[in-house]
Formats: sequence, C-alpha cells, structure tokens
Amino acid sequence: MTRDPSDEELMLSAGRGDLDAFEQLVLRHQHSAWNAAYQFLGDAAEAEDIAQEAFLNILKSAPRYRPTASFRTYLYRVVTRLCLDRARKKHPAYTDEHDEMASRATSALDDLIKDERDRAVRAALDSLPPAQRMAAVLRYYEGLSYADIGEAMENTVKGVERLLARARTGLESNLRRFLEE
Amino acid sequence: MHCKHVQRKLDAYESDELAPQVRRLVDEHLRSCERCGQALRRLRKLKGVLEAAPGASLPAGFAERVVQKARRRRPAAAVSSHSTLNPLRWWQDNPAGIRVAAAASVAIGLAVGGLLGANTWSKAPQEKPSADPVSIYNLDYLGDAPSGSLAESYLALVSGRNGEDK
Repeated sequence: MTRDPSDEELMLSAGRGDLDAFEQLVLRHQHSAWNAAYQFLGDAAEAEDIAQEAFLNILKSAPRYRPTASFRTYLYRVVTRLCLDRARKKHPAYTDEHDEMASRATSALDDLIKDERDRAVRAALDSLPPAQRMAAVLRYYEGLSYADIGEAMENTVKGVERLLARARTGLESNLRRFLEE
Repeated sequence: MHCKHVQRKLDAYESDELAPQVRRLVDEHLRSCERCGQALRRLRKLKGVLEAAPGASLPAGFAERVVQKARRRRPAAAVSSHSTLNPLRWWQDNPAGIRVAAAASVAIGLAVGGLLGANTWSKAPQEKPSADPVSIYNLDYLGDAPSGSLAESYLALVSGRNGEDK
C-alpha cells in the first residue's frame, strides 16, 4: 500500500511543473483558503477571487518553495497577505457606519433573532481593523494556534495576543446584547 | 499576575496553549479573582456566538476553476522560466550524469583557454621600428638651432626627447 504524499512533497512536485500534484493540494486545502477569505471579507465572490489568487501565487512560487513551515500555515500566510492588501485598497470597512449597522442589526425583528445575530456577528467582524479581523478569523473560524497565527501574519506570539485581545474587546462591545442572554 | 495580563492569556489558557508555569499562575489567579472568572465566562460565550454564525459553503467547482487557470497560465510560465537561465536551478533540476558532463566541459574549456592564454602572454613583445620624425618631416634644417631656442624645443618634442638632455 502506498501512502499519500505529504503537502510538502506535493508542493515540491508542483514546483517541478506537476499540475496533478497542484490539483491535489487545491482539493485538500480549498475549504481553508476560501473560508478564511470569506470570513474576512464577508463576500463569496471576493473570497473566490482571493482564494484562487492565493493558489495561483503558490504555484508560481512553488519552484522556490522550501518546506520550513507547514503548507497549511504557508497557505494562510498567502491568503492573509492578499486579504490585508485587498482591505488596504478598498475603503476601510471598519467605520462608525458598521457600528451603526451592528446596532441596527441587533435591534431588528425579535422573531428573527438567529438571523439578526448572524448579521450582527458579520457587522461586528467588519467593524474591526483588518489585522484584528484577520487574527480573529484565523483563531475562531480556522482554529489556528497563537504560534500558527504568528507565522501566517508574520507577527510574534505576543503581537498576536495583543491583536486578539483588542479584537475581542471590539467584538464584545458590538455583540454585548448576545453575550448577556 | 495582574488581571490585565491574565485576561490576555485566557484564550490560550482555554485551548491549553500556555507553558505549564504560566498556566499554573493563571489557575492560581482565577481561584481568587472573580473579575477574571467573569472574563473567562464572557470569552466562552463570545466564542460560542462567533462559532454559531454560519459560514457560506465553498462554491461548487472551485478546485476545477483554479486548476484550469493554472493550466492556461502554465505554458507561458514554462517558456519564461526556460528563457532565463538560472544556473543553480539548472544544477538542481538535472541528473548527476548531465551535471558531471557539464562540469567536465567547463573544466576542459577552462584548461584550453588557460593554455592558449599562457602561450600568448609568454611571447616576447615585438619591438616597433622607431621612426625618426626629424627625417620623416624633413626637419633637418632645424638641427643647427641654438641651444635653448624654440626650434630646439620643438625638435626635442617631435623626436620624443622632451625633458631629456641632448
């Protein structure tokens, strides 16, 4: 019985031009890349753009790839860079408008509490500055450790601790109503 | 440990990511601090609310679209990567036999080049026949010019004796 090649082995093959190896990598990690981008951007079409670009960038740089960190962390790093770059190019999403949206969402119809809560969570995430939002997405939706978030965001564990502490303060203040229930 | 520091560690405490000695300090602090205990309960609720929010599902055919794009881009990338020679990359990509042959060719080339160069440099430089500008330009009539005159200086200049004693 032959064992499945590791991500790193597939990546080295992709670097030598093996597109079947690249396809296997995409199939293995498409959910992670797409979901991280989606939770950050809140838009399925934009998330697809970012996730596709991330995989194509990875293929382009595959000949120079050296397996120093896990492939998954490497993928998150590429997705993070693209997401933060997209957030920089767009008008900042974290304005008072979103605080307003959050409070509007939280005061919507009582019989749609679930729907209201989901929209409030989205608005609360959007209200965060991009780096805090990315740290929160990687932590609470992708389940990364502090060390892996540090790798993905090119930051220290202490820096990630500070980012996440500020992100939680922002989220708690926008979602207070749901936390008191 | 101060409350502010403890509260910053609570998330990692929950997922058991703290070093044992730090975890022990947080444990001790939580036993006696109601405020940090409340912060821990608030954190658990926040995580519950965040995780309950539904994500959208991955669009169908995502992987196929990525691979299709990769296949379309690949030929151009292949051409460009061949058009610029990267010696290190070439060395890594080729089998040992080809590398040995290439190394031998380079060594032979260097040896032949070295021999030819040494042969060229070892030849004695040929002396150029020196032409006497005085006879070439028919300046003989200036030969009787008095010492220190302008004509004598001119003769010294054209015959390459400038600054030399007569």
